[in-house]
Amino acid sequence: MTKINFSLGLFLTALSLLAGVSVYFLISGGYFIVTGIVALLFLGTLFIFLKKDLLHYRFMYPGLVTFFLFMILPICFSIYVGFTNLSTGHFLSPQQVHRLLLEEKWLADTSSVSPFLLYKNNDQYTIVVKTADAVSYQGTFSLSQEDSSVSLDITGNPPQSLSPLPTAEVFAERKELERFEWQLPSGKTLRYFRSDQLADLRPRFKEVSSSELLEIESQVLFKADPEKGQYRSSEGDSLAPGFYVNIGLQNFKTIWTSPHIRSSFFKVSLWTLIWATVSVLSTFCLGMILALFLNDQKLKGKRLYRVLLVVPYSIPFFISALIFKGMLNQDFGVLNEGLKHLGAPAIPWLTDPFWAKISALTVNLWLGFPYMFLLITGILQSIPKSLYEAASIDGANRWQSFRRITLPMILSAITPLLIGSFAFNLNNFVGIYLLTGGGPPIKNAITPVGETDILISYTYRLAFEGSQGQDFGLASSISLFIFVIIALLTLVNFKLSGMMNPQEVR
Amino acid sequence: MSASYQHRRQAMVQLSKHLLLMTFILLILFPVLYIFSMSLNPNVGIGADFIPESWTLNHWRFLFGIPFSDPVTGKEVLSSFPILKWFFNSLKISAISALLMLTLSTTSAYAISRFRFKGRQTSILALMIIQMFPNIMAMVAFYLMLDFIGQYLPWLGTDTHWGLILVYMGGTPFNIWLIKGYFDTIPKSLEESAMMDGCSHFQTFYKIILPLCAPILAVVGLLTFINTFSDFILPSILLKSQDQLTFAVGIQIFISEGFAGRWGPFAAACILGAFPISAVFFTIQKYIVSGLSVGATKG
Repeated sequence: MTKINFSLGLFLTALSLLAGVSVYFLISGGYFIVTGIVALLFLGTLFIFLKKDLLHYRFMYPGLVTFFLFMILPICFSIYVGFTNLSTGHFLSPQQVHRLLLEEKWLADTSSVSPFLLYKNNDQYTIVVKTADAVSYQGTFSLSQEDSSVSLDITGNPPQSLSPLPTAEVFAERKELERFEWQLPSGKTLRYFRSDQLADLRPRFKEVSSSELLEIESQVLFKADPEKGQYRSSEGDSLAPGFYVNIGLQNFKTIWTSPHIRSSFFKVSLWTLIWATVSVLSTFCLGMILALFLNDQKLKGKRLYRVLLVVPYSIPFFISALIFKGMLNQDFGVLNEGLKHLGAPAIPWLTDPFWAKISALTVNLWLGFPYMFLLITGILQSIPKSLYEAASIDGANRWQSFRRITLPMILSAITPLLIGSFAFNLNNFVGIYLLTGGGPPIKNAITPVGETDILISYTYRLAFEGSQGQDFGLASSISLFIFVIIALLTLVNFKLSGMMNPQEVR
Repeated sequence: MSASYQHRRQAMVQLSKHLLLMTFILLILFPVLYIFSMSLNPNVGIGADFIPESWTLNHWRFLFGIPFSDPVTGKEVLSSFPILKWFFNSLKISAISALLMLTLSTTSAYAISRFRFKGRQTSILALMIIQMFPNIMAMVAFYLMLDFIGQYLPWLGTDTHWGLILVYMGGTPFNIWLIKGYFDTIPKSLEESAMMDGCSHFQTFYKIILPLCAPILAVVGLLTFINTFSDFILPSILLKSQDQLTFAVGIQIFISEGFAGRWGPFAAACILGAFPISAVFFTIQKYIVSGLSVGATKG
């Protein structure tokens, strides 16, 4: 037995123990899906480490496990959400909503509302209730007692030595107090209503089946509607809250058919395309011009210039974006102050649809051109001098040798990186969100959307910032759409850079 | 005559080139210079003069939590924002993430570079493409997962640094790819001879290959450090309490609550936050541009 085998044994034993303990806790907690995932992970581990010829998987094990847990699982979840109606008002599972509605109480008789005071003596509580007929009833109980029914009697005086608990303290114990039923001698039952009142509260619904509830007062039957994700009556009345259900392709249909969402979706898509294209082209052109400009044997101080030109790229973007946001402020920003000194009118850099787009593109150019500059500088240095010498012997002028030699060389080397940059900018959430926040808002849009929102920031706002509530379902389905585009671009990119070629992937 | 004319013309061309470059660089670096000036400018409005009449260190005192007396009101001022703590939070999270990330991805990279197995190419491709899924959209899942874990292990739940680091560990494929590229350049014969001498696969890996890869591991680690430090999205969703925030999120909240009065300390904070990242960037710039350029666009 070698040493490796011993430590492997130790590792697997520890892992089995860990898996056993977590499965025990998870099953007793009722989390069956999570239990399944843990079990799957554990069995996979055993398989990898016990089967002899899977050495490569043992090496990949640590990376694969975290990748599985924090990439694959969240993605699966997001894809699943894209086919549900998970949104404000539909956050709970059908079972949770069923339970919640069964617990719901309604005030059967408003005249039963009775103020009460609570006195505490060690663990013993004394409650004094004054009913509508101005009679005081009193009862004693403790929060830990099993019996939730407490009888109240007419008795003389409240406890003299104690002062009643302040309502804030009563409120803090409300979860405990809600389970008690206080029985009046008349046979009436009172329940906790507010932190200073008891009342005759009765369950609103009676369970008919696991998906049907009968409203006791009105005798109306509510059935769980698996399409709308709500309990609904035959009359069309619905109960809140709703639950999440699988709605198939409904979200995707909404994007194409709902006129409001479709128009903002197309508007946003168009701007996303412009944003990514202009960002890539502008950074590429400026980067190339600078690289060519500095690619001069005789120019002194090139190294210093190169360092200075790369400074914008070296600063974390969240910092530059916030600085620009301040500088571009319409009322106090340094740019408009400068314009004022020159006698020019202030420009609404971030609040006008047109100028906000210009600002976003310019800031992105400022941030991105050094990357292109560095890449192209590298490429220029790798072009053999002999090519230019041969060209000049053949009588080519500078423009011709640029057109015929330099540009093709640059483009062939940089195309995969341009596509990569394009894909990055399609998804450049921070680039938009921290500078303009997607604003200014598009007028008449029903979903929260701004003139400079790109698809990814639009999705983010749908999911997290909706003024009419959050719509995770719709957001997830749009993000699936984005993912498909990005994945296709990446595939094309791999093809171009030869990564799909068997000889290249060594 | 013509030679000296040629010479003069050349000098003129060079001079105009220098002038042009300097103007351009001044334009490009204006925000940077402006922020430096603001951090020392007693006038704290965002439209304050570029070159102030006097200088002050008060914004830096504010940043470092040193009390000072307000020049206008004369009152003692002490920052109530833990900006420095946010900064150290970020350093801590980024450093731990970088180290863990290296440990997790190096062995995988070795396997992909050295072993030949069925579906290897497809899995590389799949890893790289799955990695392109927008992180923001997995946010709900991240949140729910950490929330769930937090029920059992509170130090790993939402609003904890370890929880955030755990989520970052999903991003291994990109680093695996970078390291694999370097492993590919190391000749196989090295390990073959070690294996002949009786080393196991794992021993060859950590006795022979790892020491050879120290430089690239350092670069990948620093790259992860920069990216984690600069990340805004994940911590903005997963961290809530003020003392837990990272620099990126904290500073964003700090300045979004109002530019007025905070522009000076904000400028100082920007310099504090940008300096280490800038420094790290310039030390590994060579590698970022050369071997690592496959998809290494800053995120």
